[in-house]
Amino acid sequence: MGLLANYMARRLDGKVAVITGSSRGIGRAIALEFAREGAKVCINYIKSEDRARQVVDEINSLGGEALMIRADVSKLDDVRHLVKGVIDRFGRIDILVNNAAIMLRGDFLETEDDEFYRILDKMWEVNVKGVVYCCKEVAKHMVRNRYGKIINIASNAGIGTAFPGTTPYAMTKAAIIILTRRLAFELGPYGINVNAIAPGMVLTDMATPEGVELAKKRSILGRVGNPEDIARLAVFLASDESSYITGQVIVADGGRIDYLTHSL
Amino acid sequence: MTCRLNNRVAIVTGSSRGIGRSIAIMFAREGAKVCVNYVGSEDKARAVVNEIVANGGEAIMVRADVSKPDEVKHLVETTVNTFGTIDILVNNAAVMYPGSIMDLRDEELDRMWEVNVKGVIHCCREVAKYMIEKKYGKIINITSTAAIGTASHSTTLYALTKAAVIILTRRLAFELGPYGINVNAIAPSFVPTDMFLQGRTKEELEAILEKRKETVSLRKIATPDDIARVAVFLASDESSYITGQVIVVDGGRIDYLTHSL
Repeated sequence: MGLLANYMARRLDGKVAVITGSSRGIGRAIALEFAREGAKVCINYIKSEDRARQVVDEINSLGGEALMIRADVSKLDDVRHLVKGVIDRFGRIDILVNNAAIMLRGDFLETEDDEFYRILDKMWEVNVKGVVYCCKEVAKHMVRNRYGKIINIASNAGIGTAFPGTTPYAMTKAAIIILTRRLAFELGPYGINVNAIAPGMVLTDMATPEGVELAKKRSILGRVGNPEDIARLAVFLASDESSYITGQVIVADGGRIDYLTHSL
Repeated sequence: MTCRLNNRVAIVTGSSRGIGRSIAIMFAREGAKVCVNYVGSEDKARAVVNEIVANGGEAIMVRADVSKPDEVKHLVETTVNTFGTIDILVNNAAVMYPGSIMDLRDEELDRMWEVNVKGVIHCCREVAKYMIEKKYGKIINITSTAAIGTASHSTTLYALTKAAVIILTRRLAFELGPYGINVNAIAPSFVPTDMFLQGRTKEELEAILEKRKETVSLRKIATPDDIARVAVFLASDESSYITGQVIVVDGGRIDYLTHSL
């Protein structure tokens, strides 16, 4: 009976999760899926207050618990405010999903120098330093609890796809990959799992129609991803089903056939 | 809450004990009908089937040496005849002969190649016929972190066979993807199973495990269930956008050999 009770329990029952950039797209899907699996969720946003509220309302209508906090992850003070807000309300943090990111297109030769460096710096601030800030602030609490799951949303661009216009973006996502491995090593002794998800093309506001067509043609399964494809993987990594997995980057891209040459 | 593998039919090769046994039992708990495969351990296979049935699940047992194509054909046909279809194949059966490249005998190397590599090919080929027809399938290959390159002695030629399984996983994902078949691999590292526990005293075991923990970021040793839970995820439709991937389940080992990328 104990076994059955365990088995029927939802996969994230009673856990507290922060998902950055969760008013829409992949982050939104993760927040909803987490709530469905029993987690209390913090929705983070910067500008899309209305959409963040809709996600909170949807979670509430499912009988879940959620709060929303405005914070720009590229600002350390904002991140501290975000983490404090979650701790004040729910008492602890079990799961952090670093999903907030921006994708600014830049072509190495064609984009004007000033513009190219501007987007590179901007993405470095949000996509890389934002993740470092969130990990550092949240890890303080997780280390104390000797428990935690950190999930970084990287990209298969970070491994090297033959996709035009995304080289600077790919650089920031590659940084997330090594951060994932190193944090797994640093935080592992405290019972904290750190893994990354590397999605391929996913249907969100970020995707362009041309990009979607190209990605579809280059996918073994013949389709692009839905936010839910990524959210289901995030549930797995956030749950104790994956408790012996750490430092890994799980590619969810339908089996793309346009990876650039690499060793290994 | 529905079970995650409701009414799916699965073959788990080498499932009378160890990791395979855990996978078979967990699949059944998630609603799958399971074919338990074994070669020598008939009694243990029966115990797995009994455990599944006692918990309200459905299972059969079929003896087959995966290195023999005829026996694999029999394994798959029996499963399809009993349960009507086949949705999931877990290639778990494998043999490991320890020894340095200087010590290992040719027969031992051949046997590892026959079971660990050709056995997987035989099973994939036989099962893919049905999966292609129904445009659905999940193939999960159990490889090993050895294949990626861990700094462990006496396992070089075993690692070689497991590396072959990694490239087979990627290439089969490519060949079978257009038919709605996902092919992925799990790379466990050290999982103490019967084979490891046998013939060692409690003190010896503890000493070995303590030493092992030092090479793991999470400072703990895997159980067969740790691997089985990953297999459930890959067998379910939760992972339907994942194919051609190797999921390392090693607690964050810190003793990998140098490699590019």
